[in-house]
Amino acid sequence: MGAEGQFQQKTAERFAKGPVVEVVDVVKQYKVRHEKGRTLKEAFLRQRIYQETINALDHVSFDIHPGKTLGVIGRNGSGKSTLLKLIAGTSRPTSGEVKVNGRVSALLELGAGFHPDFSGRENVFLDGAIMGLSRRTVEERFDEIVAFAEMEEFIDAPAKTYSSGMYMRLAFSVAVSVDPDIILIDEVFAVGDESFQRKCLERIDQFKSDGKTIVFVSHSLDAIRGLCDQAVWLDKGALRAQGGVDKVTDYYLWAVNEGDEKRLSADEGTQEDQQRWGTRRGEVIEVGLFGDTEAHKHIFDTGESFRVRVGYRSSEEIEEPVIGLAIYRSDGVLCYGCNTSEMDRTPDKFRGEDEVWFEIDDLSLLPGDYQVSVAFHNLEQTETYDHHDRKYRFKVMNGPKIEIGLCHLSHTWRGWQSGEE
Amino acid sequence: MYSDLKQLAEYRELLRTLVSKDIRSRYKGSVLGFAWNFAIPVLQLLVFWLLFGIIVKVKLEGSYPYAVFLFTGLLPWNFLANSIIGGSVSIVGNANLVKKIYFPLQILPATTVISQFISLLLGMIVLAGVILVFGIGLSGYLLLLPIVFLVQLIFAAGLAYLFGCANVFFRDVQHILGIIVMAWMYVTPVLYPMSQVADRTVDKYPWATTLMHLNPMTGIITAYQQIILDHQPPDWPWFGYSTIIAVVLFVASFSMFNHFKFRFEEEV
Repeated sequence: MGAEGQFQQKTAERFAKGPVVEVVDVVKQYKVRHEKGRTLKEAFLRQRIYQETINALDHVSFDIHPGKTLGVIGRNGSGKSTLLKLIAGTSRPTSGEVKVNGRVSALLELGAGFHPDFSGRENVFLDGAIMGLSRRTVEERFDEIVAFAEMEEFIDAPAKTYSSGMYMRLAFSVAVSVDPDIILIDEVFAVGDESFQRKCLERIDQFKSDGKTIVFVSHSLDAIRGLCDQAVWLDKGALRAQGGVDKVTDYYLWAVNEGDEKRLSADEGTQEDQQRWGTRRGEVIEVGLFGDTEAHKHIFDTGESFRVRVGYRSSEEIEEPVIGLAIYRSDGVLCYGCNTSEMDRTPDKFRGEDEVWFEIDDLSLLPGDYQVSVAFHNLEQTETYDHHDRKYRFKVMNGPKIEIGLCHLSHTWRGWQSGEE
Repeated sequence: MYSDLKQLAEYRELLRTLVSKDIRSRYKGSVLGFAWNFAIPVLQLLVFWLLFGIIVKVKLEGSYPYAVFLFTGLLPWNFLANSIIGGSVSIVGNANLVKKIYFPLQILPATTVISQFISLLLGMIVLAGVILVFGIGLSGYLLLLPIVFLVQLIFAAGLAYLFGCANVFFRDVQHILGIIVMAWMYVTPVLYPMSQVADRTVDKYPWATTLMHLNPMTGIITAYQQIILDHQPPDWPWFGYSTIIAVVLFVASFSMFNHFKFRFEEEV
């Protein structure tokens, strides 16, 4: 909490202007019933309806400052969409307050105002009006909207004759022509083909450089990292973390993995044994993954520094101890493995507690999910003291654009021109 | 209440767009298209005229044919009936908008009512033609017609807000309304004049006469008939009663609607 408090204080100092969105101790409760819509009979006879109250948001507080792009992450049902609705104003908090200073445009439901019988042209005006644009503004921006959607040819055809891609493109185009201060985006990027998606992202980037404030909800951590500079993480309605996007997404990913592990071991009592074996005359007591800093890290980019710290101990004297380490891809492919016997100096005997570091300056693995195994054994490998099989996970997020496969191999290309000669 | 009304005024452009969408989309895709706006009341008139003009033979005191009397009452009645039924589904039927886009939700019932009101005005044009054809003529009292329009508009809006809101929480409303509206028409002097009901029922069923008098639509429909057909001013006490009911109802249901509107998103 201390660190978060400090962070908030720092940002508060940086933005004397004050936040554009203030979420103050917001609670949003929903009553969940078997069926929507009570019937009169149930209401008047006070029939007991199965009903429970859930806190979609539970005492959530944070601020969004002008020009920031905030990512909202969390699992399904964590309250992300509720949060957007509160900021958009379609819903009100049960308690607490959401203060919004500025005009909000919500790209939550594209084409909500479209009517299939109307032409594209009529729908642009209709949807524009619903999104809060005046008729004159739509007239002014009409050509721009149509051009952006690449719909010049079909704009006078009824919307029901459009393909779903065309429909969404036109809707998106109307939505981004709104000139808001705050833009709410709820995973609408599954729109159109690759090239249109790129255009959408460019438009969002333009919003960013225009100094608009953006709130972006997505399941895709890649998208969040690519677009946002800050993030909040909602977990079952509670705010688990907020701050810089890398910090929050790292923490999120770590916790999700951690949660998976917990779940797995809870599912199966033998899980512990399956992932860990050995005589335990010596024990691996800690395995930590790091980047350049002393902070634990679980997400790396290709080319970054990757370090593993292995803490181990032995209460009795063991001979010729060796620590081995292996990296697997999540589909089970062994990517690399080696051990400390390649070091110049290894101890003959060991007793007590110590640590070794495995360090890569320039991680050559390409994006994917990976697992680390650590083994503590003797030199001849006749006795395994403690083996942690694929217990530690990490992810490589961003790699070189065009390379595919397991890892980067340093290479050069030759011969293109000489081949023509 | 005031700020909610003001918001309605601020969003008048959206209101206008939605009304125009509603009117234009109503008969979109049909061969007759816009002409349905005129065809429906005429066909309806035909059915009721066959039943009550030819078969049952309703007696009239005035010098005008039954069909004209019927048409004069039927147009405003249709406006009310369609406003109630359309208004009741105006929130539930726009769940997409209600859930995802912020705009003052009081626009939705208003859209239905205004678009139905425009249908009424279109029907009035047809009625004007009918009146001239039958040589009924016009009178200076027609200048009072806008007041009647306004009162009925307020009354219809009050009901649209009431049922639009109630239907969000109890979906039974939209199913029961069809029956209620039908029954309501029979205690309103649309198909037969007030005088005839009084003559026939006052001894046997005094409650029926009372019910007709308590019905605020009686004053409104009668006002249309008096102004247009009888060249008389409306029966002020009865019309005044209808006006008071209309205003009180509107204030109450509009306030109720705006009180509950923030919960709609959870329920639709």
